[in-house]
Amino acid sequence: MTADDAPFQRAEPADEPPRRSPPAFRTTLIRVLLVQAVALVLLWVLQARYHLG
Amino acid sequence: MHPLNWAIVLAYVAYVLVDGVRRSKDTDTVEGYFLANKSLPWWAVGLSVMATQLSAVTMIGTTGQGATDGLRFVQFYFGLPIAMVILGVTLVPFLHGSKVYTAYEYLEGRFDAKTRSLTSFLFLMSRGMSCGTIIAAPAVVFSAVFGWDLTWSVALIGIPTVIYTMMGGVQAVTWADVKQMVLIVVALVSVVVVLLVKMPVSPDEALHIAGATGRLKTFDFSFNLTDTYTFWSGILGGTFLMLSYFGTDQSQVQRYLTARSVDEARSSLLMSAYWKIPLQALVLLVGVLVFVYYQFQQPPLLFNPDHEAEVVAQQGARYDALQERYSATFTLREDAARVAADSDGASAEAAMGTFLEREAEIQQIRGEALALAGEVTGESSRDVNYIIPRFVLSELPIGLSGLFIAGVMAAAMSSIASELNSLSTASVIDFYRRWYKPKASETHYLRVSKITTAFWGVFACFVATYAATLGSLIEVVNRFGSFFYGSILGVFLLAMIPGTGAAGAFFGLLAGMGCVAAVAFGAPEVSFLWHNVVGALTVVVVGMALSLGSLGGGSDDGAAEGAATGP
Repeated sequence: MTADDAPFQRAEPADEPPRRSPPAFRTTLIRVLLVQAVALVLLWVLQARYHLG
Repeated sequence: MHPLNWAIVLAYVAYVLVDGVRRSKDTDTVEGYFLANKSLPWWAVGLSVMATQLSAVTMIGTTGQGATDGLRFVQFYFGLPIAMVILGVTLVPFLHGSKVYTAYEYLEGRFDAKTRSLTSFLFLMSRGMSCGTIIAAPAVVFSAVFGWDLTWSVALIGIPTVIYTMMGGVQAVTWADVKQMVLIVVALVSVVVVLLVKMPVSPDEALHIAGATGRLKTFDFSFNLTDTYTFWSGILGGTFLMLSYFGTDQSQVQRYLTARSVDEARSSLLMSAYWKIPLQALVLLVGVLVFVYYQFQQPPLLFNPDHEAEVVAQQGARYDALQERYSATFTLREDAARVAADSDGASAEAAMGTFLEREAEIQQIRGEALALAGEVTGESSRDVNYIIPRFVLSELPIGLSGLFIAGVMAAAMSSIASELNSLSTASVIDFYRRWYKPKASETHYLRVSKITTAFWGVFACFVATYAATLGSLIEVVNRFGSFFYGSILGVFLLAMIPGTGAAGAFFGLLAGMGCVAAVAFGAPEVSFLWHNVVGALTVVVVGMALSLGSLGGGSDDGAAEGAATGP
């Protein structure tokens, strides 16, 4: 393929976005736990700093 | 509402409708219509899972709950990430790999046809009714706020949803969910930004005011079975509820059955595990910030415009007296809030004390106004559901109000579409094809599927019209639904235990529902999140006991079959 061919290539149909493989389950699991821990700590800090009583 | 806002809402409805109908070109088989030929990417399925769970009740009711009750409702979702991880390693690979259309279809192979039919029937009953209430909740609010007839509100939400779901099947539902989810998040974030810009105090001071009134108390570690929102009910009861909802409710199971592979199905669920708690905290934070905003801008005494009009018409003098006290106390509270925000040390503390006294007076006056409204209208107020819509229409800039209303409609339509699609799937696969016409052409089943989707759409709109006029029915239906969740989960848990049989599953299911009914009616009194634990454990214990008994007698064919096909 040359640079000149590029404009004549078919574009990806809008309905079918390029395929992205999901990350491995174990990797995702560790990320989930980390995100939840951060979210809970932030909520805890919010309560500890601002809640009276 | 400004014409530009209407233009945004109508443009959204038109776009969803046209896009959904366009998707119908790809659905000419039953598998394409119900499962998208298992071709959808994980991120689209993940967003669809989230959009299905997030309904208009979240956009209107939960934000309102944030304004009145603060962040503590977020504890309800603490079990969700745990449930998603458990499902990712247990049920998801199993259901996705077993080539089923419905979760209940699997139960026939594992137990017997009557267990499959009973669980599917329970799903149809609870989801059919709840679909109506999901339409009713925003329709009632739209009717009151815009002064429309309820039927028009139901039609505006229901008809486009039924059309694109019927025409495009699960493809249309999923891709519409993706766009709707984006719209919802954009609308919520925009409101937060506008609130922070318009707030007359800094974000830190705003949080101090919210914290002083208890709105930032998120964690409650008390262990009380009658209290719904505690850390423990969220972690334990919430885990069982989410396991039931995402693992056995066809409206969710069908989302991840459309994923390309088991890994993609797992990842789609884990997307909710990532984002649900932060998203729910954002939803509640919108309410908390609206509450703080209204410390400096006087809100209406009653947010429900219908109730306000009726009270003014029938008890004008009493309402005027309350309004006068309200305005005077509001000014005093606002002054105290400004002093508390502007000063430091002891003077700030003193001002905060005065602020809290005035806040208590305001709450008392509002309580009297709500009681008066109840007396005049004969209905419970549900004023909390009108806080955000009134705020959006009166305080947000032109264009953004339309965006938020479109976001509420998106939230409603995404949930309704998924439910209609799953109701149709369960009706056709678990009943029509299983019992009535087992061998017919693809074209025939496809036609029946579309007719069934339309039927459930009309049914839901019909329920919505009546549920809205019989206010307490909505609560009854919600509690009615919670009867089944735990028990249905129990059947699926039982299916994973080797040696359990069909009789155990069927009678265990009935026993589970019986126990949940007992605790729901107060013998002993237990908050509804715990119903899921009670139901699931009862089914497992009774099912195992009956299966062991049957095995001893050697008469339970289902047990042998189950042992052969179990996970």
